[in-house]
Amino acid sequence: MDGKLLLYLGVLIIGIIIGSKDLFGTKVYSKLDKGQTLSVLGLLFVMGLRIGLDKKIVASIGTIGIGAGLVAIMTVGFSILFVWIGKKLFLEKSLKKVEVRDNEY
Amino acid sequence: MSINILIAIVLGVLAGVFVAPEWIYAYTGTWVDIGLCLLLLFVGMDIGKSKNVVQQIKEIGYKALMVPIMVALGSIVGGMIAGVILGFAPHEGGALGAGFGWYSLSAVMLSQYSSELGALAFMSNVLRELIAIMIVPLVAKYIGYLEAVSTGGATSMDTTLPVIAKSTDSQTAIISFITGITLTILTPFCVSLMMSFH
Repeated sequence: MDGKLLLYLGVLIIGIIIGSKDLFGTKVYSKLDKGQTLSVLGLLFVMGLRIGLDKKIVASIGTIGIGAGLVAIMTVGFSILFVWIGKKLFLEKSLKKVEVRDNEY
Repeated sequence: MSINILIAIVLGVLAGVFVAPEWIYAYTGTWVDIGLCLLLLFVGMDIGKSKNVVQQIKEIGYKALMVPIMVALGSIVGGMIAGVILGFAPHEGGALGAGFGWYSLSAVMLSQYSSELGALAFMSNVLRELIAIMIVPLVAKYIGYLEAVSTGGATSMDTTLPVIAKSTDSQTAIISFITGITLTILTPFCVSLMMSFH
């Protein structure tokens, strides 16, 4: 995990440097969005493939699926709720300031 | 986007169950790594292109940590409630939620206490990742960008990051990465903390 985290961080930083220095022409950047979409879908297909190939996961879907589904829905739901509350309590002012400056650009 | 995401995952699962030979599994980890690196490069280029992103992050400052902290609290509370409904003790449910989507680690840690809890941790956190990937575009559109980050938990720095970056903006993509790293660090600590009430 640690090695991969460093790899991901490194690649992200390289991307930021490439983007900020405008190393490629505008043609490349206009295709960024399409590249991202294709990579996301390809990645998700492989993720699905890994789940399908893992007999342990496939077998456990039936037995503990409902309980696991409930835990997953509750954790996602409460994460959304808590961040929404946190945003209202702590971030509203900062975000408004950033939005105002964004509009000035 | 949500429909395409669902189609890609379902096709992948069906291919895995019915078509693909088992030996392919050994290579899929490398494919995922290559795909993720490619995506993170694209996301990075997108972030670098928007000149005022770093300035915006400075503006928000320590408050960027609000997201992972609230996600941690929300996940644990949600897990506790679900756990109690399923007949587990509150701290066991809290430990399930404290996996924050990092299924391999939380499952291994909880299987030391009970294999049922371990299996449930594995499955619920796999499902959390899948649910997150599917609903991020909808949450971003109808609720908010930071709420979209919250869905993936610890995976918001890798597997759900591309979908978050695609559905939100560069500033949120950076917050997503920070959230993922923070929750990844918090996962082993929070799972152990919950199970210390055992």
